[in-house]
Amino acid sequence: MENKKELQFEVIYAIVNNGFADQAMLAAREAGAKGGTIIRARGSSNIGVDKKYGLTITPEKEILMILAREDIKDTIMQAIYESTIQDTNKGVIFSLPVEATVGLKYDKYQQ
Amino acid sequence: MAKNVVEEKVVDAVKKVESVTSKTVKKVSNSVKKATNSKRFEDKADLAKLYNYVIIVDLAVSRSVEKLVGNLGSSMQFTHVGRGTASKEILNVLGVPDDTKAIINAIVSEDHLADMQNELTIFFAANKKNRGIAFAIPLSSLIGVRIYKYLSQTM
Repeated sequence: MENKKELQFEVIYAIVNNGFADQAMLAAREAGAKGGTIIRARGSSNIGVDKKYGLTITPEKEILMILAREDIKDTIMQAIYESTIQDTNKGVIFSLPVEATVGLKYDKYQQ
Repeated sequence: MAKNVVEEKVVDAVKKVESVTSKTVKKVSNSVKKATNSKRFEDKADLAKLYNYVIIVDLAVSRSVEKLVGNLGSSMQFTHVGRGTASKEILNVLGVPDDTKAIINAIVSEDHLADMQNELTIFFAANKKNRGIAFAIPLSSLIGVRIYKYLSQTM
């Protein structure tokens, strides 16, 4: 019970180009992440720019959500950045503090 | 004689300036008083903190989670679809045909947070199919008194 109170979690959001979320998750796993969820999305930064032959090319994105311990959060974010974003300079990673976590196997997260 | 006229003019001018400055000082002090008297909603009311409660479960049980969360005091929920990151080999071993997930975002006030946490713990433990995770992200700001009242259920 004490362990539950000690552990602080943060949720990491990594917004990457379509198809790169699995690569990012692989790097995150190596850095200590236990799992994640991928959401499909589309970018909105340059509307109307990518028009070719009358077709608008939608910039498809994937959002990778990872709930991680606060102390290894930076390592995971660094790993995702180096594996996915550094070369292409396309992607954003940020983290948010969370409270009232439910459903986590605390033994698994303590390792 | 001419000296007296000039002196009178100077005195008049000084009086005018004094009256103008006193008027402006009064105006400013009145507006400051008004500003301090008219308290804003956040100063008057005892505000409850709001959270975005994110619940990630299998798509099949998303409806029941939405109902549960709605009954526990969340006035607004929205759901979108995602997928898990477990490898296909693991999914095959576990006999899970589909790893489509529902991500439910529910706005909850801090009064209902503990209840929601307890109920979701029970829900996740009740059945293997009900497994999932949930966490609360605190909201830092919100615009609109009526929206706040609606979301915090103090309307």
